[in-house]
Amino acid sequence: MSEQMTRTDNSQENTGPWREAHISDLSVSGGGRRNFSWRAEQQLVSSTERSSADCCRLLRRRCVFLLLCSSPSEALNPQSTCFSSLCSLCVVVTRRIMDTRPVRRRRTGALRHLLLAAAFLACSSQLLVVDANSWWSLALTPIQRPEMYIIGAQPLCSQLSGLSQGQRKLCQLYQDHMVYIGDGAKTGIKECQYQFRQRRWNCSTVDNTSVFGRVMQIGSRETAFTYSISAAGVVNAISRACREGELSTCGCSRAARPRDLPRDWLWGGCGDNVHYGYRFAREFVDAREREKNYPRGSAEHARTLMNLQNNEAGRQAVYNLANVACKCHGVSGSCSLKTCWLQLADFRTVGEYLKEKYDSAAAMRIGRKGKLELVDKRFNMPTQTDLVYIDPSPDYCLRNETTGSLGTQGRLCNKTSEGMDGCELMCCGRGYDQFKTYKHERCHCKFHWCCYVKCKRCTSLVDQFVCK
Amino acid sequence: MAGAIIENMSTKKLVIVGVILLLFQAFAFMVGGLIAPSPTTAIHYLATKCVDTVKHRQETKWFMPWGPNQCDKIRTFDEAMAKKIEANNIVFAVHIPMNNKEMSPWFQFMLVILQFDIAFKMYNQIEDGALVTIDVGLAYRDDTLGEWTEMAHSIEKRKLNCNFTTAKTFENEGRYYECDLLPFMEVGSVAHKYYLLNIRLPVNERKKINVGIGEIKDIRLVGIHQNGGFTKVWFAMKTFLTPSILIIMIWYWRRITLMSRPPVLLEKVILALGISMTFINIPVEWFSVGFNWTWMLLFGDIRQGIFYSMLLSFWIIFCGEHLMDQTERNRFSVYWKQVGPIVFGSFCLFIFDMCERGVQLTNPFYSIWASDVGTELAMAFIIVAGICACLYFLFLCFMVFQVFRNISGKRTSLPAMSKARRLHYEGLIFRFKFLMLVTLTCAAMTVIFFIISQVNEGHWHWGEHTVQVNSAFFTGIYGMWNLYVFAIMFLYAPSHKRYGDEQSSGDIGANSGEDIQLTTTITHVDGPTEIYKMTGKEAQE
Repeated sequence: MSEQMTRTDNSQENTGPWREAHISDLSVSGGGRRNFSWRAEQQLVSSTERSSADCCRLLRRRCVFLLLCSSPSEALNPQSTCFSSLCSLCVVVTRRIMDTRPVRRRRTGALRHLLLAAAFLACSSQLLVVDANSWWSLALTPIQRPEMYIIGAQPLCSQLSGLSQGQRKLCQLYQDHMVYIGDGAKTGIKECQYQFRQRRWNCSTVDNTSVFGRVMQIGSRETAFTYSISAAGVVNAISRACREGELSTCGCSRAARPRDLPRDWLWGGCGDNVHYGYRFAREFVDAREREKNYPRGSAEHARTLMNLQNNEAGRQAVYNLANVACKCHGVSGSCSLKTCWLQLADFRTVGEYLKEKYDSAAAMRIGRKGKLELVDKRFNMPTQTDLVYIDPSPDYCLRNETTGSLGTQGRLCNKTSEGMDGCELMCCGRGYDQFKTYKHERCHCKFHWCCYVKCKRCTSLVDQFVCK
Repeated sequence: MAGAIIENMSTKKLVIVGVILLLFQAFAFMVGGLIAPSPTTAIHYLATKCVDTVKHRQETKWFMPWGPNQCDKIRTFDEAMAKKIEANNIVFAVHIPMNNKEMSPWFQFMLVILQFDIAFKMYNQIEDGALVTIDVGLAYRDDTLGEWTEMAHSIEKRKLNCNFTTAKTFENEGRYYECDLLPFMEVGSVAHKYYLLNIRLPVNERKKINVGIGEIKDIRLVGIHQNGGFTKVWFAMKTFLTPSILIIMIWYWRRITLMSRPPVLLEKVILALGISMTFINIPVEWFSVGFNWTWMLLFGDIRQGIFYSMLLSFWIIFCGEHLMDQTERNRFSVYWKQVGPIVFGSFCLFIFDMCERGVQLTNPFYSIWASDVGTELAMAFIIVAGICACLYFLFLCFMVFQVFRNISGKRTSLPAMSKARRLHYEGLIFRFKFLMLVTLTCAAMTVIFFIISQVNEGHWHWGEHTVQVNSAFFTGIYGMWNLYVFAIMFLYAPSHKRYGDEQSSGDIGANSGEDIQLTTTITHVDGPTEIYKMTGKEAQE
């Protein structure tokens, strides 16, 4: 019931009838301090711009984040309004203010102060904990199309927050890839939120630098899943961009022989783009872990190993789930000549596969040799495709600043369900509030391929439950 | 008195010849496995969705997916929905090849496969037997900034064959259907550097065009072309093999004409085999690098077809001529029952090929499998050809069985025969067994490699070297059949040596009854050749 409710809520805001779009809006561009903002008011973005700019001006003295740009494609893609990390926090705050929905309104005043405080806190803490930000932020800070940076290569890469030293170098070498890495991270986060939509921890994004907040500093199962799915997202996105012909180095990039490329291409064609996506993702995503040099056996080293393993598992998932398609084209269409290629699986399938891996993730600890070993030796050693974790998961029921847990307060739940999304488990026994809402739904629709849909609007009254 | 070379050759020499042939064979495999790259490459393309803003356009405009003058793009159809763009104004653009690369005549052919990404929607499912109507244009240009020239334009229908593997519930909305690959385009020569495909899916509700095809999210294409490196190795091989087969063929025929008697059937068939091998070998493909000959693909098929039917006929006739029953054959008409299925079967395949590749000469988007009638027709041709093949193999097996039965019958009576006659039969049996062995080995090799290339992913890693199994299969098998034909022409050419010194003219006169019977085979007793006469005279002197 409650699940259905969320859907209705979205379809009022968006013109398109397709639901995936809503999920994306819901998750990525919204990103409030609260779990899973109810929706992202795309239309509001432009109107909030000014107030967010004001807000930023206030903050500018403490942190040097400014409003970067408004890309020309803004009209096309509402998410591409450029704000650096804090400013979008401001947007979040102002969005809350502009939120005119009756149900939510009663809390916005308090929320505003709380969020402003949190923003300042995050800002100052960011200066101290540099490590907190991650390349995932590429998913949230839209990247300019590379054409605009043909001459000056520096600005794009230095403006992107969250990149490590090695990643920045890769960024300078492969500028055109950055947009797609952002896309990949976005798909990863989106899929993560879909897979965990009914769990206490629902993969909610918190802010634009650390993206998932402090939860990721704990080497838990959830962290493992997040690392793997975002790595998978990058493989997926790079391979896709390859196929679109958007990447100049795609396929043929063998060890720095650009002069030989046309010859290679003529001689033996270029490798398939899934492989390219895999290799590039490995370089880029793992760069961050590889450049750190912790003493063997330390806790940080364990964490590095864990991240590397999970990144690899994510990439392998895409690579292994890609199925081989073949075509026979010999004499008279016989199979004497057969050509095969890899075909990427639906990202939903990858998400499901990794979710299974999450359920069977192996608990590890750092051994004496500086390698990860199983906590419980009776189990089999995890393979390259398995997820591993080193810390127990924090309590996701209650809000906790130190662990970064957001708590389940304000989450929608399903009264009748007995699973994780049921109110009993979701609200951790705190009880729930009930609301009655009108649900507007498109019904009796008539579709055409692409771009034309005629629907009626059906309204019904439904109950909705929110955790206390 | 004169047998084939194979009978009169000493074992040592035979072994040497065998070893040399084996070395060449290994070399052929190695050329494919180590030097050549994989035979073909598949490149995945994702169509860019362009927006055609002008409603009724006079001349065709070409939409580029990237680079300068690129079209107005949309990333998803949600965008199109928001902007109220109609389906007829959306153009899927694909540039072949990718950015920074260019096509080359060395690629020989280009095959494109179409795949739709169709998302499942509860209220917008794919109807049963849904047909997609595709309005497609193909253009080319040879420099990056030039104008596009139209090459072909067509409106095609393709049947959507999709199934949804998970449950059809709201929960699974947005997952993709699993759709069959659709044949899309086949071009027999790649004469230009850049190709551009513009695809539209026009919607017409009244005519039920493109209605009920589900929610298409993306169009994916897979372009397959032969690798330039493989083409070069292949051409080199052909260029090397043509003169070798040609020379041995001329030598063989000279040997036969030197004899006093007219050539027998088997000799003629061997010559025909050599001719068809040379026909397939002649590297006319070199011209495809310079000229835009789209019929090369079809021509190649025809050449292969001729060779295979010749090879099959040869086996039948060879068996027939070694039957060693007392019937006089030596005429082609005797074998019509066995050769008939071969001719008929290859004729069926030829018609099928003409229907598919022949029509593609004018319309590269044509596919016989696209329509129901076409599919049935194609299936009919292929089934008939299959039946013919089965029939042929039954005949062949029966004949081989007969030969072996006769051989065992002759074995028992061999010691009682006169020497000439015994030697003659021993020669026959040896020749037959030798060819049987070689043929079986070759056929087994072909089948084994075919299976390996079907099962394998295409290359093996061996230390630092990558062995291209598929290329090795092509060059190896091609080289093998060439060596096979070469060996037959060399070893089965008439010999100059005599059976033995004890053989006297008196024997011939005494066994004249047998001689008549012996003429049915190639080794019938004939007068000494010119050279033999000369050497014989010298020896007498």
